[in-house]
Amino acid sequence: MRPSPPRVLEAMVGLLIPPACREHVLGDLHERYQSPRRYVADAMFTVLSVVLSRIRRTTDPQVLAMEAFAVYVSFLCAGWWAGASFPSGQRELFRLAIPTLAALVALMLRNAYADPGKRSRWRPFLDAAAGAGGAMFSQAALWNVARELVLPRQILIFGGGVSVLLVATLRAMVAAQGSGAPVSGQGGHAATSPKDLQQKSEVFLRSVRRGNMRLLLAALLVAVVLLGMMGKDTANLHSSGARIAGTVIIVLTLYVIFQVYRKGAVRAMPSETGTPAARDVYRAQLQRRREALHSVWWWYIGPMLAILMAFALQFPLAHPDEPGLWLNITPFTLLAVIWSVGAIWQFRREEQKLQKEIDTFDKR
Amino acid sequence: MAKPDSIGQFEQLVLTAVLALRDDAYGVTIHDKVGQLARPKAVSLGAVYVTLDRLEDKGMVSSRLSDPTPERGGRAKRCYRLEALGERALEESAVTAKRIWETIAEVWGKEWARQWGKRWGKEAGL
Repeated sequence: MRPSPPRVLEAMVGLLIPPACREHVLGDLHERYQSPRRYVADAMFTVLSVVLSRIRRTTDPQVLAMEAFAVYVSFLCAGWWAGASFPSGQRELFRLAIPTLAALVALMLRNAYADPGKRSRWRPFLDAAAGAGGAMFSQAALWNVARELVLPRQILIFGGGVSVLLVATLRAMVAAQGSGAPVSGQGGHAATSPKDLQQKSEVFLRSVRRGNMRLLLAALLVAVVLLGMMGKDTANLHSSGARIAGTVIIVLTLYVIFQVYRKGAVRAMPSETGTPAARDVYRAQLQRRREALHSVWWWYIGPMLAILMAFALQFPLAHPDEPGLWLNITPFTLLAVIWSVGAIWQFRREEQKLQKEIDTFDKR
Repeated sequence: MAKPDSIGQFEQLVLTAVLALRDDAYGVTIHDKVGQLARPKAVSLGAVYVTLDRLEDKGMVSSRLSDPTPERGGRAKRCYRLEALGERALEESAVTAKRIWETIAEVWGKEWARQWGKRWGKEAGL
């Protein structure tokens, strides 16, 4: 009888292996089993390698860079709002980088350990919460070894909260674009019969609707959070700046909702149709989505940027006698602009991908 | 025709192993074969997984999960297959290796090459 590894040991190793490769890696380790000591040594190196490989495969460096910026600026904004004395020097900026780095490691691990078989609409929020959890954990660890590097609790909580919102929005948008285009290399447009085309079309439309739903939820969430924050500041609530900002946020959110609904209304393929007609309908669906992505500035990014700016500008406009407030909104403004540039770049990339699909489709 | 990405020495070894093993190419067998090809260097199973993932991303190999087997504790194997892009990359590597060998043999002499081949073959256990 072949020796096999102790079940407890195998279960422990199984927990460390990312779900995407757990089945075959555990099987291979089982097959190679000779002794518990050899198994542990084998598993240690293998787990480390497969986790690093999963991180490489699942983490987009450009998205990670955007997330790093979002998390860092969240803590920077929190520091700025917490008091004028923070951050005042290079040391403080370095202190802010520690939770940022920890959040990024948590986000990368979250990517690596995501189960590709499970899809959840809450995933962007759970990912972002894991990132914030990583930041908190780093501070708890630092508390024991280098207390002077730990951030004040107020900054940590406020920065962590803002980073959850920003990272979740960013991830929801990236996921929305990722699901908006048909997958290349899976015979995306090789289908030639009306039935195949109809199936492709249904999958495509479903993914477009799912993507639009995420955009919609992200917009609603941003509006609710911003209005909630404005409502809490009772001293500022009745100022003209706050009233204008509130109106702008509500009107633009309604505009975004309407536009997302409009862009999602795509002509479905009739159930009984010939190949040429089915091809035309499917191509029109791809084309419409490509055009929607092309004009995303006008129906999503631009209004969202205006919403964020309306929120930020209410403070200096309400108190023109306090010039320091303009400086206080700089990081938030910078963050909003960088977010919009990053989002446009992501949408453009998706648009190009879709154009390639259309070109391939036309050649067939 | 798409031009294959350039591949490193370890990737060449893994592709050669997948080619040689045909339908029986999965983690353990690929690792064993690569270990034979890379002798006397030791090769870790993790390094093989990482390279297989990279080759899959480059479109040089494809994979599928087989049925579970009892000797693996009821778990499936991930079986790999060489794709056209991988075949071309391997072909290019083989041609380059041949050119290197011929140039060395030309400079240092045919007799040296014969002796060296013999000695190296013995050391590698071939």
